[in-house]
Amino acid sequence: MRAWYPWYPWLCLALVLTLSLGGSGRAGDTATVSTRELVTALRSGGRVILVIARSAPGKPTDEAYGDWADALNNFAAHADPRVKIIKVTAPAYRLAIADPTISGPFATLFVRDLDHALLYRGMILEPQVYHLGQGFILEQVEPSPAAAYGLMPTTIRLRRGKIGTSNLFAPGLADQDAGFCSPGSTPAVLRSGLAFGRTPCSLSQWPLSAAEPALVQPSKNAQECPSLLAIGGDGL
Amino acid sequence: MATLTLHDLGGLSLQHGDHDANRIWGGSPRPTQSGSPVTELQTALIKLGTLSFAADAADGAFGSHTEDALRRFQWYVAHLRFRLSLLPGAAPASGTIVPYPVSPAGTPGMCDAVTAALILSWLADNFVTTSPLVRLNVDSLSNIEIGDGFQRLDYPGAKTGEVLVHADFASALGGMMNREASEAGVVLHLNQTFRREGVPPVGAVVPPATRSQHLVGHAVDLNIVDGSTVNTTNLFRSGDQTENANKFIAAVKARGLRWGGDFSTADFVHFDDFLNPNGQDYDNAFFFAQRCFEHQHPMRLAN
Repeated sequence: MRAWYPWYPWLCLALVLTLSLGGSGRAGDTATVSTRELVTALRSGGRVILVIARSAPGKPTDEAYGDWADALNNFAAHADPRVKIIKVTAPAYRLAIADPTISGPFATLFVRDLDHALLYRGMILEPQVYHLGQGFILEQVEPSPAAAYGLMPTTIRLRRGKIGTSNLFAPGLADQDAGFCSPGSTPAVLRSGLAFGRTPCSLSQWPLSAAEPALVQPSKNAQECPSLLAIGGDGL
Repeated sequence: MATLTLHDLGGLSLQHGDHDANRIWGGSPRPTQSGSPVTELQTALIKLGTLSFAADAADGAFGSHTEDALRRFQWYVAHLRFRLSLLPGAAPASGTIVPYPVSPAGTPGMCDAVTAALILSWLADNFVTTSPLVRLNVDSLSNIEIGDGFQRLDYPGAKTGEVLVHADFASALGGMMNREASEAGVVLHLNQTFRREGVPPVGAVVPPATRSQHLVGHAVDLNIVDGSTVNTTNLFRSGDQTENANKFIAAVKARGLRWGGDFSTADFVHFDDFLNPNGQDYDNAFFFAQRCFEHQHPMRLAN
């Protein structure tokens, strides 16, 4: 079992990454973290569950969303105390992580360390999936039994370079990403020329369409950038 | 000056806009009379359990909260077949669920003679409204089990092997679905039935759905287990679910259930009998199910 993670002993990291590109709400109890915070968490070496989500039902009657949210919230309420849960948005994820890429409106990534992770594409609708993922993180379950539930082994590749070379991470901006919410203007992340070191962002990497999720508070979004709320497709 | 009391309710036809302090009752000023019938009606509705606790201050003004509470009571007596019998001053958890013959409830939103008589009789006999949820003993069912991922709820008399569903859905789950599972040769592993409103007090990550069928006990999430194969969401997504799973799904859909796999955002583990989430029945079922669970009402055993 130890042979699974000799490479990053400082990264004894438990990461659950839930991506949501749909919806318009945001949780009250768990703040959406910035890319900087995400990378810090990934490199911190602590046992962490990182939930990256910006989600609310497109409709209040969306049963799939309801099942997903309920399973996630209940898992988070009873998660192993050795596993920390953090939430980030899809853009923050993409700024921080090169692989695996996410290609749907929802995905969940369970990371034991950077070399050993389980990716679940789509909404997790069965509570067992969280427990299998947590078991994997805590080295109680190997990938094989988890595969039946759609948890696929993967590795994590962070984007290289310094973080925070732009004002994207200036106080008050990191979690709001105001650039995303300025219709007709270039988003802050693009203006800044930022990226993670050697991999500058380009427009092609940032499909700033109506499907692009925002990092801003939904209430502000609704006022300033309503197009960002018109989300519903497989944005990424 | 004649003083109005609770027992005058039947002749007053209290309605929206009535006001004790202004001596407006039955939609008309009655300057020669006194009393506080609206306040007494509000107090009665609080006792009966239909005036929400956020608006339980009996202020003598017949506004929207009072009208809503009156409509809930009228809906209840016309739809639900059980009520809770309490000893005076006792907590709901110690109450006894007794049958109730549904009956006409008067003019909606108005405390006419019919409604007033019902209210007075319920109060006199210490009856209150209660939950539409029932306990379903899954252990007694041949082809349904409680799955490993089932999220248990805590309520008075909760027992291992039981789940909570709306009384109207109990026969679908415990009867029809169990029979069809047997016919198809599959076993249903339940993950969730009734769901509490809101999010856990600790650990909430995302906001919950607000109009789910689970919130009124009309839905179930389950895995269809066919021999050694668990038909997971992953299997359905790839189209690799078993034939017996398909057979079961087709059978229960033919009997009127909705399957989440047909939704625009697929939810392969979800089945419900669809209570219109924009209708009065949903609103009232939601109110009584959630409120009575919160206040620890006992739940009737369905089977």
